[in-house]
Formats: sequence, C-alpha cells, structure tokens
Amino acid sequence: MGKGRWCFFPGMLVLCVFLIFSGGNASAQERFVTYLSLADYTGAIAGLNVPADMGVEDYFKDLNARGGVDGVKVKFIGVDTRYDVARGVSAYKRYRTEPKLLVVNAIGTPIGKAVGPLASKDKLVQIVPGDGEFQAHIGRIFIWGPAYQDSFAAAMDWIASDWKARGKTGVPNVGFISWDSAYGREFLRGGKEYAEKIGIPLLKPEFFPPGALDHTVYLTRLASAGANYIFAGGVDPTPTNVIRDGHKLGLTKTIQFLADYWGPTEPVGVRAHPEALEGTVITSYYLRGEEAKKHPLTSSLWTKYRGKPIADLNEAYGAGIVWGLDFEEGLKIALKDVGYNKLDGEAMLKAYQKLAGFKRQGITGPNAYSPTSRRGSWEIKFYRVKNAKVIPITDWVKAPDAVSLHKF
Amino acid sequence: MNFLGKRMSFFILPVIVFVLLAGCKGMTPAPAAPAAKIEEAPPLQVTLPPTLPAMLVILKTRIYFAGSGYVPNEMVVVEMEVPPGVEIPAVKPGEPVGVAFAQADEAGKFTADVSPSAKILTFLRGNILPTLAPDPKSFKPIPYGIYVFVATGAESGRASKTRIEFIPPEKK
Repeated sequence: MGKGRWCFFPGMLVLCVFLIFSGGNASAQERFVTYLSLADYTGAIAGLNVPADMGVEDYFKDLNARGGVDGVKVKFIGVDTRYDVARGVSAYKRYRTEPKLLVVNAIGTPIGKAVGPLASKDKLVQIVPGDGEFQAHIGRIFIWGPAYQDSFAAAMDWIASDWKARGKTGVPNVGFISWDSAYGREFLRGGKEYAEKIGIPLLKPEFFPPGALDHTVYLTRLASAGANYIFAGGVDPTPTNVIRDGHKLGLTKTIQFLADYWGPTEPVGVRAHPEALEGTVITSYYLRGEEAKKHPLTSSLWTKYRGKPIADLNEAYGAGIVWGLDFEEGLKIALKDVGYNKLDGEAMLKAYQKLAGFKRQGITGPNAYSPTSRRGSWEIKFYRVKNAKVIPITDWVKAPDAVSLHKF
Repeated sequence: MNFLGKRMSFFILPVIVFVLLAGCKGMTPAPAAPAAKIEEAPPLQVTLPPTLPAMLVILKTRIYFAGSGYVPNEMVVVEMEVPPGVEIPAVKPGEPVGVAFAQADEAGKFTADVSPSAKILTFLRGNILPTLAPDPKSFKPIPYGIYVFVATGAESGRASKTRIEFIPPEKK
C-alpha cells in the first residue's frame, strides 16, 4: 500500500505537466464560431431555402473537415421559421447569445427587416436577400448580391438592347407583376426611376396578393396596356405559375417574359412547365442551369454530401455555398486582425467590409462589400429557358446603381 | 348539432385583449402585514371549432397582446409555451413558439397582433403553400386547453405571462 501511494504522486505530477503543456492544443480543438440561419425548411419558400442552406451547411462541413480556419471551426445553426416573422424574431431571441455568434442570415425580406434592429444592437453581421434600403442606409446588414432594384435596372438595359436587336424602333412597353409584399415592391424602388431615366415607359405595375392561384386578370391588364415585356417576380413556383397563366392566354407568343433571382429553377419550375417557360429570360446573380451543375465546387460538394444525381441540383445550392465562402474569408481576416479570444461581431463586421474583390470562385460576381457598400456583388447574368434547360445568354454584366435613384 | 345554425352565438369571437402587467421590480416592499393574496384572473377563452370551414373563423378574429412597463422602443416578443405532448410542426419539444411581436412605444407600452400566418402555422398547425396560399386541408388545430403566452422585452428581459384557453364550440 505504501509503495502504491508513493507511485501515485509521480503519476499526478506527470499528469499535471501533460495538462499544462497540452492546454493550448486542447482549447484549439474546442475553438468554434457560430453562424445562425433563420431559415425556411417547411414553409412557403422552402423550395429555394432548403437547397441554399444545404449549400452553406455542406460548405461548413467541408471547411471543418479541412480543419476550419486556423483551427477554428464553424457551428451551423439552422432554424426552421417556416417563413413566419414572429417565429423568426423568436428564434433570434433564443439563439442570440450563442457563443461566438458572428453572422445571422435572415432568409426572407420581412424576417430580415424585423430582426435587423435586434442583430444590429447585438453588434452582429446580418445578411439578407436583396433590399436596397440596406445599401441606402449603411449599417450592419449586408445583401446577398446586387440589390433587387439594381437587378431590375440591369433587366431594363437588357430589354432596351433586345428591343433594338429585334430591329424594333422606338421604345418597348414594360410590365411588372409580383407579390404585393415588401419584397415584391422593392424592385421598383429605384427600378422605376431607372426605367424613366433610360426612357422606357413602365406600365402600371400589377401586384397580386400572395396566395393568388390565378394571375389571368393581372396579365390581361398588362397585355391590354401594350406590354412587350413582362418582368414577373415572386419566389418559384410563383413566377412559373404567372408565366404558365400567360402561356394559357397565348401571351408568351408576343410578350417576352422575364423573371428575377428567385425565378424558375431547373428542378422545380422548368421541370414542371417546360413548354410554358420556353424562352423565359431569368436575371440572376448566381450561376444557373448547367453552369451551376458543372461548377467544380458546387458539383463536388453536392456529390460528396448529398449523394444525389447532379440533375437534381437546385441552383440555389450554389448561392448558399457563397454565404459559406464569404464567412470563411471574413473569418480569416477577423482572426488575423484580432485573434480568436477577441473575435466578435464587431471584428466580423470590419472583416466583411474588407471582402470587396473576393472572387467567390465565380459562382457569383466578385464580392462588393466595403465600408460604403452592402451589395454582395454587382454582376448579373441573363439566362434563357430553352428545351427545359436554363442556358446563359450573356456573360456577367455590371448592374446599374438603381438604389441611389430612390429616396429611401 | 348544426354549428352553422348557431354560428352567431358560437363564432362571434370578441377582440381579445390581454393586458400584461410588467414585473413588480422597483416597487417598495410592503411593510410587515398579512401576505397579499393575488387572485389569478381566469384565462380568456377562444372558441376553436375542430372542423372546416368553421375553424377558419379564427383567421378573421383579431387576437392581440398588449402590455406596459417595457423599455421604450424595445422589441417585445410574444411566445406560446407548448405543453408536453403537443406537437407543433417545426417546433422542437420544450421550446416556445413565437406568435407575435411589436416595438414598445415611448411609454414602454406595446400592442402585438397575431398574424394570419402565425394563426395558421401555430393555432391551426397547418401549412402555407409555396404560392403563399394557406392549405386548409393541412389544418389540425391545437388540442383544447390552457396555453401560456409570455411577452418578453428583447432588451430588458422583462417578461409577463397571460393565458388563453382554447375551447370547443358550446354544445347544446
């Protein structure tokens, strides 16, 4: 017994020495930061948000598998708000004190606007879909890509060019139809002014109540007013349904339909109504169709983590990967600037403002975040639905600044 | 029982107002005296018909929460506590579900309406389609009983509670 006791103390000494010298490594293994997604997995926009959050989650899985950023890993928290604002606010309240929470992604315009003041007071970085007001009033909220109104302005430029290419004289009449919601109306806050600036008459816009199953009345009014082009908003399948109704009326023969960022995707809208959508032009800030499926990063992550045929890839997956790319790059900068122990939302804000020029591996145009810019990027690409595929018809083009034309 | 025939008596749901009293922080403790007794008000009752189309009346009934004693301009979030055994889609067991929110005014008072979306997703446990239309076929109202609602100030953490009892239509 006595001999055992004397053996015990040296063992304790060795154990203490081990713990002292391995303490740094042990804490490095525990170092992580948090990304919160106020998402929609089973609600109205789940069709786009599920693949997008798959993208960012898979990117983080891959990043963590590679050891994280300087040993710091990313904890992804995805909360299903079902696209309900009260649930979104409640979820934010619940998770706002998560250790090292740095970035909050609010999946919808109304959730983003409701949570914004809270996240800003908590000094976090928030990312939101496309509202130009966050560019007009620079704060802690960053847009995913070009602002909605910028994309609409780019579409006006494309229309003017297309009209001319068709050998037409004068100017075309352009119609706009979308959800009667904050998101639906955002495109014209600056977009209307841009159309006027370049001399394109915008017809009286048509806003239908979310949930409308038939859009015939609205489309008929636009057609009767002489629309040559109609820009259809809403989150897929809504724009698909709008254009489907236009097709039933025979309008797709004489009117060129366009859709916004959340327009028809190959596995959803295009697969459901290929004939009706034939010829539809889609404005996008992220790769679509075959370009998305063939992109090395999107295809490799999809194959590795989802194990499904690439034909089933929804292009929003790539848009989600970009959130992860930005986060990783921001984290690198923030860790270099302040180190892990001092890493907080303020450091991440400063880091995000240094992301301008970051190439996002070509899934979108280069990042445009800076101290004076909350745009995720400037570039838009136009695609067309052809034979049930979404094919590019332009290269990346820089969108005009329509935000500055509107008084917010 | 023909619910539709008794529509007016069953389904007129008054505007429901809950006055939530702020916490008693800061009040001077009472001098030694027999302990004050607070009688808890009975919960307000909301009739929730179990079948379509009667249950849709809840979508037309204004339900809102009002309170005072919060920090001026702070956001107040109203959450429903989910009793054990009650399943609400996308709500984890043990977690509350947000049903309303509002910003308190300069006097620290708030009024928060429950949106149609919240009624569909939580009280009716239904779905909203990708077109943003409700899907009545999916509606499955929460079980009858008393539910606790908590209004919490996002800055102050001040919390007040009230209760609603969801009841079936009166039987003849």
